[in-house]
Amino acid sequence: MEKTPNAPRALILSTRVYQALLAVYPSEFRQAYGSPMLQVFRDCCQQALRESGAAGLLSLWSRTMLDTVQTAFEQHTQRGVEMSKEKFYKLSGWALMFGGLAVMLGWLAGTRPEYNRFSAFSQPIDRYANALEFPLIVMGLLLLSVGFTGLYLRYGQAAGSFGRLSLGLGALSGVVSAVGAIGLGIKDSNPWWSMFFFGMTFQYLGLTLFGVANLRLRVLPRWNGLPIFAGFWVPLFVVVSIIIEQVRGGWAEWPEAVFMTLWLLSLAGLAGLGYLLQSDAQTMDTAVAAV
Amino acid sequence: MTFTSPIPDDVLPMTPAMFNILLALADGEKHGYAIMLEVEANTQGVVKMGPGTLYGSIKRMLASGLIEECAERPDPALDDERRRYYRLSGMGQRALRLEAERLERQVSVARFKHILDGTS
Repeated sequence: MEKTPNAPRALILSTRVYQALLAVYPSEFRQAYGSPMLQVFRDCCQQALRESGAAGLLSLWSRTMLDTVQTAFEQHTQRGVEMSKEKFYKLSGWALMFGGLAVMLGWLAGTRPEYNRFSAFSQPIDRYANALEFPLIVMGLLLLSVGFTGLYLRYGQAAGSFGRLSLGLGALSGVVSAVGAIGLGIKDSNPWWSMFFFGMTFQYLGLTLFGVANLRLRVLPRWNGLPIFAGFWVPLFVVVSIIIEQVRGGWAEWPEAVFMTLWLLSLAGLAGLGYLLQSDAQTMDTAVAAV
Repeated sequence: MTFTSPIPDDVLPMTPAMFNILLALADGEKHGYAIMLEVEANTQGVVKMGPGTLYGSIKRMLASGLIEECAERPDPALDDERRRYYRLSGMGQRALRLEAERLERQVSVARFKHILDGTS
């Protein structure tokens, strides 16, 4: 702060004390606004001295002290929340990537025949595949729900009520599906199967519907078609299969290569979304530091 | 097609500080101290913001997109070139109108209940 040649001692002292007092704010806030705050305070001091002398300055100081304590606390709290949010966005970015991978690997493990040491068709890897199928699927579904929660928190506000509702549906359905998968692992029964199957369908449907809202409002920083690309095929497959079942009277058998291709496409979409969330969290890091 | 970005949910209803700052910026760009003086004048001296409240609110409103920092500074000969000037964004104007309408509705209720003429 420049010293005005004829500035009263009280003014110089006050600005110096206030400059020292600014240390109570978080460093990012101080770097961004410390200088204009000091300038405004100096202007206020000049006005108070001009209008009411020492009494005015004392009154200004009492108000400023209260203001400083209150707003410094607010800024520290806000900073803490922002830091936690950024960490969660990064974490949920990873959750989308690894969730998609785990679900795909779980499905792949499920394609292996039941291990039988006396069968010529069984391979040693089948023993591990059988054991890992449900844990991988449960982990994948839950990770995807964490990822959807990250998308909800980061883009939900801009995505509007329809987008938020879709992501909420997706996140919740993932948990329902995971519970169904756990139930299936314990006892192979229809209710558990329906819970798992339709839970997963609604999880991906939620992502697809968020993608529709996203195409309209363009809330992602880029690649706005990704949520639809990652999610659409699961609900589409279910609808097509149900139609075929109604027409033919039996569940349609699809080649494994078709599934593999679709899972891979979905994984690519989810990995892209995860990458977006992470890079956006890093952008926020920089923005928060700059603000 | 014109695209208007939605007003963030956490903006409305506004804090008194945010509403007063937006109101102060409604008739043109201003720097921090000028905003403070205008708020004080508009509220007949009832609201006296400290620098922390002022810049804490400015930070929040910049992040929400309600205000923008002006790139052009006035002539240094006319004003201190270190001052930062702020102006309302399109979203800020819409949010200010919505908040003013909300307050107007509240005042209408108060008027309907004869709060203002002291007859209730």
